[in-house]
Amino acid sequence: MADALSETQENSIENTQSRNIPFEFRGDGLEYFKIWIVNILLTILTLGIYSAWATVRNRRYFYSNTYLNGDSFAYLAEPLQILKGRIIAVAIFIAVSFLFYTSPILSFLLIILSVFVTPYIFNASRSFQLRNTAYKNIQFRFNGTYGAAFEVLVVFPLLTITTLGIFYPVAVKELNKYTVGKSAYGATQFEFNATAKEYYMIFFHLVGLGVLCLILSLILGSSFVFLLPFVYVGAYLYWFVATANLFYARSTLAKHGFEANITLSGYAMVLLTNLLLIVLTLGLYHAAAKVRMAKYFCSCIEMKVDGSLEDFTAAEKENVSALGEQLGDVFDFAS
Amino acid sequence: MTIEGYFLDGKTSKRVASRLESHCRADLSKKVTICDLDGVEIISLDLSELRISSRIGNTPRTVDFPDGQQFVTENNDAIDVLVAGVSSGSGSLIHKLESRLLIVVAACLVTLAVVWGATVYGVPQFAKTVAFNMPQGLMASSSSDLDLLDATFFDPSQLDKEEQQRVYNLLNPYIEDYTRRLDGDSVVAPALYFRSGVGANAFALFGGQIVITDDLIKLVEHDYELVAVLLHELGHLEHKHLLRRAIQDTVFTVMLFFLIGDSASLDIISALPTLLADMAYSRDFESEADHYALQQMHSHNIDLNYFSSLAEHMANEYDTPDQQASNHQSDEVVSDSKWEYLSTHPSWEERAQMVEKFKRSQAAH
Repeated sequence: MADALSETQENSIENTQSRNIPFEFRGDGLEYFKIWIVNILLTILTLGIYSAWATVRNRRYFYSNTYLNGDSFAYLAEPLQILKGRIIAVAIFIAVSFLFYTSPILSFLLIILSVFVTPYIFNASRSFQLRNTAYKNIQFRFNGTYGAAFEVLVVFPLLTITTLGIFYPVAVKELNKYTVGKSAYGATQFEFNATAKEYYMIFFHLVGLGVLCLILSLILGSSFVFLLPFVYVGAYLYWFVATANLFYARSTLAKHGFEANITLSGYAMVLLTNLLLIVLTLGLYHAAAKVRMAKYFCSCIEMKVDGSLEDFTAAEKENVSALGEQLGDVFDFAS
Repeated sequence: MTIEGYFLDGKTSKRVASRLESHCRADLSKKVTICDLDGVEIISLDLSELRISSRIGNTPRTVDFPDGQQFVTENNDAIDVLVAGVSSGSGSLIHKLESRLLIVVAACLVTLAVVWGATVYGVPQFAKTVAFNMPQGLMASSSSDLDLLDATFFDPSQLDKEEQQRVYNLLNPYIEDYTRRLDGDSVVAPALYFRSGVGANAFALFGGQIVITDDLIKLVEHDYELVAVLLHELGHLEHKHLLRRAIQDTVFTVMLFFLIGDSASLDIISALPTLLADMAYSRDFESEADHYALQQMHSHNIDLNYFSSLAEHMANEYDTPDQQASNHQSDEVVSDSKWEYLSTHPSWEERAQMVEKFKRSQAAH
């Protein structure tokens, strides 16, 4: 009875207060390492067939260990679904690679073709991922359209190139707007309301950094060249961190919002020590590195909850093929 | 038995604290009932109709009902007892494997050994077998390669007609000799082309075209050095290197994809092995082509020192001024070795040493 009472009290508090609820990753590096390495062993022993089961097990570990408000996420995809998609995707990849190496003319045509296939793969991949993600037994979904995907994945990047990068912040904003805005939790649509100006602010910081480097290089001369890789990595990390924080800050789900406080130093620290340890362990640290990164990200992200998280409703179920997602994966891998 | 947890109806995100109770029936089947904390029954069904997630680490377990309702609990051990003997239990078997230290250590060793073995022996051997058994018709496609390269990288040769004719007359006998030995075995008959615009270099393309650049022709100091270049490129064709490299890169990528498995874990670290492997494979091919060139020079009674002097010219052309300086000052060849793993070609010093080794092996016969 006491339990029931505190539960009701908790609920009533939940309903009235606006508060920040942190994401939390409860996985453990060593625990995941064991799962990961046994997966690889079984994949080797089955000549790759088990890899689909391995993928599902790995993803389930990450989803199920990610908590928000005491509830964990869940990964729902079936291994057989992934296996079918994966076999077809790998067959297509091998055929395309063969053409790519043997015939430059045909591979030129394939590149043109890929421009038109990319929006389809993006949508299919995103649909599959979100359909197979659940929180509190309610699935996410993605309702993108080919035309809109073509715009953000092909037209805007082309505009970026033709404007020598000036359009880039708008292109990134529009891509995020499409990705978030077409996503839904159950029947509730996400929204993304960042402005181009906010992306341009980050962009201009980097342009400022570039100008600073130019001046420094004039003063320091050729010895500056050795600093360039660090400047480049630093600029990349800054862009990543700043846009990631903006991404969460401007995403909303009904009246709830998000907040991320990823810091440049914190992220760089985790990333670089991970890289170092992966190299030193001949790749075996890969598993623990993923856990560390997930822990770090979750520790930086909060949901700004306004009212209750209990009244989201589910949308109708639908089946999405794994082929598009697997195609995206194998070609990502090769690029 | 009773398991604490909560219930989700699959229609809303409302979570209801509840208990799972199971009762053994007379026929040994189990009936599962979910009750809220006041003991009011929410749903009840035979255990065999439920889907219970397999155990992964200490993550919550879900009991799914056919109509989308779900019971969630963190009490993994209790769920294991509940499903014991009912489900076939491959999931729990894998959890047991993961919990055994010996299995985990063995998995590490097997993984490292297999990945190493496959990269160094398996993939190259596989590519070789496939390349030499592939129907020739599949390869007949591409006379268009050169057109595309002409449109992108190459400029027309600046050499006058007489010089081109002279080099052609010099090299063509070796090409004809190569073609004769093919014996109609290949649809890819090599042919010589002159181009410029990419430094001192030579290429063998898929269609059998061998391209030599103006800069290279100017760089060499003796005709036989040019013959050595040609024989090296013929070596690439003879050993089907382009095709084998394509197969190796593809197979290696697919292998890595199956092992690491999703692009969520894709980062610089997964790209790095592919790059390193590709460069190692490329170096092996260069050495193989060098070896072929030396053999051919030997059988044509050409002094092998022309290969060494060619290597020397190329070294002077391509080493950075810094490297050249250190090479001249201390005469040491070690300076290059640390970059060995980060290069698509063996160092020129290495190639010069290879000539010496080849000479010794010929002398021994």
